[in-house]
Amino acid sequence: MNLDELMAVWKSQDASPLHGVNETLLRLALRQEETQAQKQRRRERWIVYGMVIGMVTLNVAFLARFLFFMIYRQRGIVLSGWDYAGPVAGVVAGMAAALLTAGRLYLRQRAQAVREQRFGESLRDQINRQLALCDYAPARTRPASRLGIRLPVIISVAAFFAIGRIHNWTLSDARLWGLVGFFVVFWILVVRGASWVQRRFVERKILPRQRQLEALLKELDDQ
Amino acid sequence: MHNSERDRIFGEWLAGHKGILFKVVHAYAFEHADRQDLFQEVAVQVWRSVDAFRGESSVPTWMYRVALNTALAWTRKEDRHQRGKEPFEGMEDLLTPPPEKRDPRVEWLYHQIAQLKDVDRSVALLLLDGFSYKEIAGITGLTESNVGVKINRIKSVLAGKRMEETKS
Repeated sequence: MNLDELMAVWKSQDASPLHGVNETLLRLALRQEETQAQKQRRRERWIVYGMVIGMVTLNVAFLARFLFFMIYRQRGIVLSGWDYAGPVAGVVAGMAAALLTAGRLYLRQRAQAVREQRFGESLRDQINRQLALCDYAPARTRPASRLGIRLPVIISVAAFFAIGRIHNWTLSDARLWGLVGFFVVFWILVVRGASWVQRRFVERKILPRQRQLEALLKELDDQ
Repeated sequence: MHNSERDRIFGEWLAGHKGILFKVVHAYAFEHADRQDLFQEVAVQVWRSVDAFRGESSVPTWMYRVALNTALAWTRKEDRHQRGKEPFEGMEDLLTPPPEKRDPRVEWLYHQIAQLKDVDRSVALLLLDGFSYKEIAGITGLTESNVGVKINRIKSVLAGKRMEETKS
């Protein structure tokens, strides 16, 4: 058979399709897909909101607690405006860092969306678009990005200890050690834990996919 | 675009060109369950693409483009359970099974296509459906000369197989 004959054989399928389609089920699948996509978008939005709210709340709570101790443990001592300035500055710095992180996250997502839209509709463009998506996830585990996420925590803790230093807390102060312990556990469980989960996800899911896409791209270029 | 409008357009596309989706599904998935799954995935992507269709290409070209992109991504996803993305429940009867008696020459073509590399499979489908080199280049993102090289290779593979089988 030459190519024309092969094409004629191939096109004979158009006269008698290989399958029938249950259109009711198909429409149901489309509705489910739409619902799932909406849920996913909502979930992602709430994760970002939750992170920001959580960071701001933590900052406010820790520094308000410190303010409370400062006022009620030092009875008889008249506190000046400068004594309050430290905790307030800590709260403001922590909140600013949290908002900065959220803003950075938002800008990164926008930049990623713009980057994805730059690609056209060909197979090569689709592969490049998916590769761009793959690049986006490991980027979040890079040191600069990790620092951005941890910045609010670092600023809060640094502000907390700076204030403690100003008020002559000593290492024998049990409450100070309790809080130090809390920060260490918080850091290990939440911050390091989240990094570990993300790194593991990238290694197990993203990198193999990235390699496969690169192989596909190579196959496209292969003469 | 409103969902009902998108549904209407999608319905028209499907009525006119569902054969394209079946061809792509058969070239990239080999078990009935996998074909159901891939067909669903391809159909969903075509439905979602209705908004993006600007009429700059014909509907069959557009559907081929979306279907092939989806099929290539689909074959590269190893385990859908691991990704937490499974086909929707109750969709096992989305496609009716193919008829028992099918043209053996079509079967032979699918068998040969299945043995090609992923990208070559796309080129082979487009070639057999009569797309020009330029159109194939536009759909795949290959240069026209690269399309030419791939098509020559595909032709010689098919001719070689045919000759082998005729001899045996």
